[in-house]
Amino acid sequence: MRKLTAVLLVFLFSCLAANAQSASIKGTITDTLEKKNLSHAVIVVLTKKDSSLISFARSDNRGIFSIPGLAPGDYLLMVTYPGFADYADDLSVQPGDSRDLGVIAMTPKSKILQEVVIRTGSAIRIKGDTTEFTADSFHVKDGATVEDLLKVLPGFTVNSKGEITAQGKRVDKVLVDGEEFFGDDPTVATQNLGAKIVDKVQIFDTKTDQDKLKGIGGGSDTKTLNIKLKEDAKKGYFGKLEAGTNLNQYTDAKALFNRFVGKKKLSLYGTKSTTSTGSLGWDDRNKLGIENDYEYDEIGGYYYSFGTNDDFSNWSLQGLPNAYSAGGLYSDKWNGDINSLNLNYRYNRLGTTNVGSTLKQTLLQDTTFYNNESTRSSGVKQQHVASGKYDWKIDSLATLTFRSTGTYKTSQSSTHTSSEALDENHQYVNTGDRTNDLNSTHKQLDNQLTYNQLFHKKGRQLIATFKYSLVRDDNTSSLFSNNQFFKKGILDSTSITDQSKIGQGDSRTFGTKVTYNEPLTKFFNLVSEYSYNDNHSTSHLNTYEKDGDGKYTVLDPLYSNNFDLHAFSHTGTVTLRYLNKKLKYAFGGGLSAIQLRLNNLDHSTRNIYNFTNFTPQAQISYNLKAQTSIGFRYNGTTRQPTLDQLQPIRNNNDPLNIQVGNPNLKVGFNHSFNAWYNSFKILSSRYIYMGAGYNILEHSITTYNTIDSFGKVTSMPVNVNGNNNWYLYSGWQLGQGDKKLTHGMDLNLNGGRNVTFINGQQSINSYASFEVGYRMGYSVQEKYNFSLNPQLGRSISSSSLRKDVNNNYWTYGGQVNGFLMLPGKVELNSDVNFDLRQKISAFDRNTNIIVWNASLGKKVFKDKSGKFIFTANDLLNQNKGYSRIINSNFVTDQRYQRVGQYFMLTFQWTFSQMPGKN
Amino acid sequence: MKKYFLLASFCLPALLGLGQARFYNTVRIQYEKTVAVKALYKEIASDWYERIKDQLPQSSLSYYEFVGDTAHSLYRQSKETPYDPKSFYRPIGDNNVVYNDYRKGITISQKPIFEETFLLQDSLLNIKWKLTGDTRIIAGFECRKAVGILFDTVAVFAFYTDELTVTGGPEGIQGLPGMILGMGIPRLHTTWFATQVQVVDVKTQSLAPATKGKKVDRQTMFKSLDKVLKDWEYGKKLILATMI
Repeated sequence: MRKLTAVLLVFLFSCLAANAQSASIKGTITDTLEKKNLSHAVIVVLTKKDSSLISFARSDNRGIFSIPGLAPGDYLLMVTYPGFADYADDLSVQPGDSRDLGVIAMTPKSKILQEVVIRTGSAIRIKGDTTEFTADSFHVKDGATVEDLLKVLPGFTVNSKGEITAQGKRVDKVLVDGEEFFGDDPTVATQNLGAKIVDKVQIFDTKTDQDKLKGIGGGSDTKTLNIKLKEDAKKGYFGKLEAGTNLNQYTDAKALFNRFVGKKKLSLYGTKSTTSTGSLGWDDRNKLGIENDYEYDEIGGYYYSFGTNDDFSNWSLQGLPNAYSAGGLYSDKWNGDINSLNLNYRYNRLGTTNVGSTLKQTLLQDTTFYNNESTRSSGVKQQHVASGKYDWKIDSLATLTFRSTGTYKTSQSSTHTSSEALDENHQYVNTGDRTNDLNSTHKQLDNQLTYNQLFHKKGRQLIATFKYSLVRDDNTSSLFSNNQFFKKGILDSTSITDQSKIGQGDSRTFGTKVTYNEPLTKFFNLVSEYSYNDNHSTSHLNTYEKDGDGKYTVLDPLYSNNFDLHAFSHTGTVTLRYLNKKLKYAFGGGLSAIQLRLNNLDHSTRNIYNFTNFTPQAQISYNLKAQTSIGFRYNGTTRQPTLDQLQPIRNNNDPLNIQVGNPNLKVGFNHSFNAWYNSFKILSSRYIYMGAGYNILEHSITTYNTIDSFGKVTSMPVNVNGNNNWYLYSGWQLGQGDKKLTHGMDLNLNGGRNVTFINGQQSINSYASFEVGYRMGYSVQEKYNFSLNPQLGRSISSSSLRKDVNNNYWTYGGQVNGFLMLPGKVELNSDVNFDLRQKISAFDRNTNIIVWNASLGKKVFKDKSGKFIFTANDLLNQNKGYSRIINSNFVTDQRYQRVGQYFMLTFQWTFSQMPGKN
Repeated sequence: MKKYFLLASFCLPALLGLGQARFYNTVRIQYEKTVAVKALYKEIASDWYERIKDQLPQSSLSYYEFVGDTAHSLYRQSKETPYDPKSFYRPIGDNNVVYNDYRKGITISQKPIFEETFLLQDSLLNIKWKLTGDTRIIAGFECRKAVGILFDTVAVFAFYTDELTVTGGPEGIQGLPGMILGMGIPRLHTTWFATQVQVVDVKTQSLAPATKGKKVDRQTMFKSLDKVLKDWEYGKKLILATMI
């Protein structure tokens, strides 16, 4: 486009130079047959070199024409008249000439029928106007080029200049796999490609680009040659190697490789890291084709992908990692893309060690508790995931997709926790130590078959999906805890738990869903859906205490649970959709009947829970003008209690926090209202967006906490009314691109009201927070860039039980990032993240974290394929894991370990070999 | 193609014959514009194309009308493109209203793009034409193929007929000795073909350019598009579709 700019400017400012020495020509056009002068004949002056149009004129009523203003030079004069053969002659004009060309006689066109000889043979096929030769049927010597091959094909001649004649016509175009091969010089392809990689040679009449697009041929006297390459000739690979170390405890390494042969594609990767989980970034995943597993919702008309909540992502990492990962991907398409196969395997191993602490403040009406906890933990998680997907386009209307995923996960962990609970006078209420060791395996197999049928009526569609999955869990764990309870700071009692637990779970799910879309009119569609889901599961968890011999054989029935569950549901949904250019709306609803049959195997009791869920919804959006839209949505959702809330597995892993169930729970209902506005001005690069939402919860499920005098918390879920929450977000942004100042602002607010119960008293908790941020940035490519993003926020919360406690605080901070190209093409990157919080009365720990990372990079080698990077991570050595949660009457401040300051030298090398490249 | 012949034979008082050539100085032409959507998207973003190709139509049709004589002409969309909610394709540069004054050599064109509507006032597009010997019949007229180079880089294939003396064509493409009835711009994967040519009872006195829009010259319009769209493959196509 830059070239276009330059050229355009030249055009805009160039004007035809008035030439004082310009020449002119004139003449008369006649018809040789009828001997009369022709009016309206077109007389054109072309350059001799390349037939560029210089000037044109029409002959008048008397057949006379004149063309003034010609620059001196050699031209081609052409006269055309419908039904007559073109007249063409050389024309040379001298400065100041005024030439009379006299009478130009035109001859009527006569038609010549051309015969086409069709040859047949096993190696030759004729399809329509295309003749196809199978290359391997014609013998050529080793190392022969396509040109040598053409010389032996019947009907072809190739002259010394490499010009090809086929079936008596000149070949003016050579395509490779239907595409032009390095411009339109036919010899580039024929003289450079080896004959061995050719599958077929096709010859057909040259069509104009328009014909090709329209699929309609015009008459033509030249031929096009298409060389179809063998699939395995489309080969190439690329990859990346990366290794870094700080010459001490930290090493990172990564290897990626991708090879493609025709439509077959193979990707392999492996990583090792002690600074992160080693999971591949989006960029690498995309390159390897791992991220391409999107699904398209045919009825809704949008893309989606199932986010796998991964234990191995950097987001959920707490502690210091030691990670390995490896994987591979193979994909192939065959039969003209009718069949396609994707196979995928990955392995992760993540070892972590963590030292963490949690400070918690519990605000009761008459008193305040403080809980301090510190943990030391270490663990190793591993997983193998293998998946496959097979697509079969049965015909132009029907598609069948089968996908299957198998997962095998193991996890070992050991956690030691010390805790203390203090009353408002900072006297001990309880202290404890506990060790939990866990060993678990998880096996899962998911299968899904999808059948998609389109119909001849546009928009009509049927999608049927069948799912079948199996899950098996096995785990063994041990718990040793020693808790002391105090009265008025004096030891009152001690409780020691020393148990071993063995758990086992099996689950089998069958599900089916049928969706049908019927277009009612051009703009209205009716979408109906029915689904059935059936799940059988059994769960055994048995807790044993030590017998006289020190073996864990004595069953503790209180913390043992054995049950089987049969859950099934029928769901029907109907939605009416209206889609037009400006206005779109949809409304409808769903109804489901759910039954849970729970057999308690310990007590031989049986509970049946029936739920009816209703989900009304409506949505409307309107495009005010191009790139500006406004919309509103309502969703009603039933909130069904979970099995854990109805009848939890009694669990004493944390003996100071016990969960109990509530079989009388009612189904909750959530009304959700959302509205939004978006406006994007592309040419002025201005973007405004805003949205707001409000949720009202009926019979919402909240917790009823009972805290005894020893600080033990027992939580039970109960229904409550009066819970709600709201949010508002908005932003404004201006400018984008290189050498332009970009800046913007955003404002986010949210808040709500939660009702909970503590020791029989209702606690109404209101909360709200706001955050305002400003961003600005400027960049000059390959030279420097910087961006600045200061932020300010405030968090407000209050509890009806403790109006005297102030948990409001300010947050401020933001980011400063920059890049500078130093002399010698050394890249300097720096980013600083400020995360500053006002201290609140409950805690006096330092809550300010400033993380500053910087790196120096230098590309090496002639093709810049290598790069050295020197990284300084956390220059200020402040990187701490930190989170603060203010939840009704609890304020929690959590810390965990993170990889802190280090300096690392990394080398990266990228390599590739693509077809057509040497 | 048969359809075009039929339509043309209704509108043409006489068919071609030896020595019976007729010439017309006023025309009303209906064009069918075809965008090869799949080919366009494959070029813009081949990765993305692989994912969305099932949601793209093979091609998209839209309809335009050209009315003019040897002095001036007006080209604009004749009916709105039907909206297909399921298609990922949205037409680009499809609402240009092009008024050309062939005597003064100027164009006044309304070009809506995103939130802006430009009113371009400048000289007629300067196109470097090369004539070829190829001919084909479009809408009943024998047309000669010419290859034009626009902005020094963009190829335009045009089929023009001597029998219509108006020197215009679809959008701002003109400058050949006769009227362009078929045209293709491979870079936009787009073709324009005349489906109907009316040569009698065509009123051209009242043709007038669009008046609404931000008045710009070609250079200003190009600069304001280029600065935002140049780094974007789709944007480059948009610039070209708007500039022609």
